[in-house]
Amino acid sequence: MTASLARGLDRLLAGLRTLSSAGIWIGGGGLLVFSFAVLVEVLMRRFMNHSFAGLDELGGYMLAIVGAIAFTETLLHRGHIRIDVIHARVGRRLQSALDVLAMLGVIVFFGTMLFYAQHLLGRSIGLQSRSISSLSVILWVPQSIWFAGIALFVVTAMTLLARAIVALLLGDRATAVALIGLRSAEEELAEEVELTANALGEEHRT
Amino acid sequence: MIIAVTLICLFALLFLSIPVAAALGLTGIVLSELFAFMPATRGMGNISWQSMNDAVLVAVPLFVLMGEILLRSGVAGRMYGAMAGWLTWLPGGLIHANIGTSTLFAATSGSSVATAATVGTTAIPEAKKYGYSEPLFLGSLAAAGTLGILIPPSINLILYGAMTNTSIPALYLAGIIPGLGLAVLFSLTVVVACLIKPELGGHPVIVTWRERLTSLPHLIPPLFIFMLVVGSIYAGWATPTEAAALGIIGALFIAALGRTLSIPMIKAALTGTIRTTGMLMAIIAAAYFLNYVFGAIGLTRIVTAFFDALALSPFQTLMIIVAFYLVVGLFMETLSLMVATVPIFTPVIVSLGYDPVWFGILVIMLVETALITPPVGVNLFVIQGVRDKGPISDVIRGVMPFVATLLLAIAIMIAFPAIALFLPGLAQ
Amino acid sequence: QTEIRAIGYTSNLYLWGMEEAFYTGPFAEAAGDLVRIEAIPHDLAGLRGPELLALLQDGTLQIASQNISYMAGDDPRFEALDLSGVTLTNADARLATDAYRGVLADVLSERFNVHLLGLAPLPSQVFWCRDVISGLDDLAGKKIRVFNATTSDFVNAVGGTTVTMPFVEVIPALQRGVADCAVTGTSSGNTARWFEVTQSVFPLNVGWSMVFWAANKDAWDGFSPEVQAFLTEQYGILEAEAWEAQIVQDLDALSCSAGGECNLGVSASMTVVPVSDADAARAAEIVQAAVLPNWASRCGADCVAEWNGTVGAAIGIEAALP
Ligand code: NA
Ligand code: NA
Repeated sequence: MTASLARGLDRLLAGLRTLSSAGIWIGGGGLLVFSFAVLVEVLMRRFMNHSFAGLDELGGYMLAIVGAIAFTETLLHRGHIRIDVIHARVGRRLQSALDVLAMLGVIVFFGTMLFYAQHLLGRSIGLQSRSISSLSVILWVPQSIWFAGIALFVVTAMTLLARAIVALLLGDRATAVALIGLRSAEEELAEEVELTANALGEEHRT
Repeated sequence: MIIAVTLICLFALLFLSIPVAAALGLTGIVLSELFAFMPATRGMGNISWQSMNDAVLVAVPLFVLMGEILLRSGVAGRMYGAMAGWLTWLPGGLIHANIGTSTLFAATSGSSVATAATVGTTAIPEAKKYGYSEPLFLGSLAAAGTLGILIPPSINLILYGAMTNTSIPALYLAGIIPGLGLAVLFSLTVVVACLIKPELGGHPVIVTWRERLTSLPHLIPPLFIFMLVVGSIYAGWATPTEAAALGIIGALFIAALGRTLSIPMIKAALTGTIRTTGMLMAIIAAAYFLNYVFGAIGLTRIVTAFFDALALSPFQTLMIIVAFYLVVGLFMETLSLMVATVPIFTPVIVSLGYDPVWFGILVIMLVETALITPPVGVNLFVIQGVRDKGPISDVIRGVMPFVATLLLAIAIMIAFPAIALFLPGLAQ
Repeated sequence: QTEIRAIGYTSNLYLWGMEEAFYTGPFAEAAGDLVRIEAIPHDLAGLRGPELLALLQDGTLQIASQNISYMAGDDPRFEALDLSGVTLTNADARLATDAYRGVLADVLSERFNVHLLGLAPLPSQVFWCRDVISGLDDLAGKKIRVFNATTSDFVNAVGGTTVTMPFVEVIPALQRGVADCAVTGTSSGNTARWFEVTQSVFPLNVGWSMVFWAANKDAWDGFSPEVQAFLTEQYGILEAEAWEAQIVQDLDALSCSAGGECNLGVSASMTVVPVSDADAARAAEIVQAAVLPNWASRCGADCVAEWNGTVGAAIGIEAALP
């Protein structure tokens, strides 16, 4: 029973991870596209006395969307900073309890944010609100992507917590730590080295 | 009462190892439920949207991405090698390369986290190889990384300018001399430490003049990016936010010239950027919400009234504010610290006749201190995160001499405001 | 005693000073034990402005003041009194506001659950330029920073290039030449020391930054009739004061910027370029050719007809139906 629940949650997590990886390309790609747009804007303004008028506004929407999408990737990577002053000094059982508490804290705060973000989105859709600039952007468009990013984050946090609790119940502490534990120094270095090696290694092959 | 509840709630949540963003946000919800004169939590959707949808903060992920591209393309590593060639003859050897590379990288990056992570990842493998005392080596990386926000460009200076309506170019100019001066003071700290205890310094690295000269071209990429990011602002081509985006184009260009531009490299850079951005934006969104609750519960007025009631001299008031930043900076993440305090203190300071540009630089130096003081020092975490093994207390022990140096530099800045105000004055 | 928490205007502009003095002075004296208002400026409450109407609407806020044109994205009628170049004087703006007040009160009440308490203008929104310009036509070919749709329409019609950037980046942009001109109030530009980065100011009014005071309707309905009557009377007094202050501030800010007599602002030595009759005539053409048609397409036929019957009739102008 518990084991099949674990398998179900693992499948769900795998799907969430795929979504989050797609988010890297969407969010990161957004930053790259924005940078090139700025280059064109700066050159055109300088040499052709022409401006897109509104690129800064679009940059703001992009930041909200990239930030919200990035929440999840950071969470899956256990990259949201936690203070380990006490965590590092207590036994394993208490550490697991703190890990569960930390994830609950994330769910309560960002769940509340999601709830009120839904109010904001509902209002923007109901009023068909637009931005006051000459772009007159229909606000529910960027807001709904932003909202989806926060929703993905909260769902992922709940799934991670559920899976970790199941793991703890099954006595599988290693899995729980891998999902919601505090990142240790060794793990961070290993991933850092791996990322750089991938970057350089791949490029040597080509 | 309100202040006591705020501090107890925040520290309890932080020490329970609740993620910093959630700890800030939950503190906001608790304060709102207990004290707010309006149902403040209800505004969270609007506040979160307004704080994350900010055309000025776009510079945050842009600077992180620029650092990632330079790191993953090997440009940062070659920069470090060149710096090492030129600086290792000093007592303290490679540690000066840490400081020099951080200073140069700070001139391209607007973020202390990005500076410390980029230079730290490059430098730490060298420490073992040449037998350096790890604490001092690691401490220098954490401390010199903080130069990222003092030497322009700087996200924190943009944030300060945004919150106080202070000219960002003036702030950038004001940061140059203090930034270079602080780098020199950090190096002097290392020289003094190594003259007292030579074993801190590790084996000397023998470098020939020929090697030094052939390494010089590796220092060109960062200078090129500095010209692009800072130069485009002064030439009247770009706003500070746009300039950060130009930095990315510059970094991609350099990677392409070095033939290290590839899809896997871009993917690695984007992955690193998104992970760091998620961490920073979560903290920023939560900190803005907490700041809004502070307003709603009247904390802002309590602090202002507190200063009015004390009826102190301007200098005494300044000292209290400095002490406040040093104490609260021990515990608080720095972007949230700035967002929560700058709008309160700057009007007080300016009304006492101090210069807002100078105060901006002073705040940045106090924030740099907060970045490397335990228990909550983000740069300490970053350096601990990228090193091999061992307890974080190594990093903390090693950074202490640099904390002392920073305190000295802050005292100098208070005594001689002209250090900051000289360059902006020339530009007027 | 009824306790009210109010959100005031931005802390570093004179209107907040007026509000604060009013709430703690005449208002408190007249109120006695009936009602008490505790107010803070919106920026110190961590608010930016555009979200204020939503917060008033859902009852997060009880009473607040803000630029009504910031809300134009929620309903285009909120920019109807701020259309560039339509009302050039305080007297005309007064006629337009009195004619349109009922429309805005109904919109706020029916669509936004908000009770309107007052409407008043801030000093004129005008052009500040790096160079000394000769008049309206000289804006052609210049890069001009704008912040809303109607000023954008106006500048495009003049032949200028509209550029946009966050407010904090405007001063450096003017200083370094990223923008040639920017639009802001006579008084706010003077107090923010824009004269340090610009040489001329062209005081053709392209907007008023009309401010509204309003209450959440549920909160309002919860007040006793006595309190409601008192608040209505008091906000009328505050509103009248703000209309007078607008004239005084506008004249003083221009005089200060030009290096003349200076009582409220900061003294500077800019060129104030006079608005000629030809400029005014050209502005009126632009209003008919660009400003009103563009707004009409944002607002719709019924909205324009309503505007023609109120504002249009009061000041003798007619907008073509979209
Ligand atoms: Na920097
Ligand atoms: Na600290």
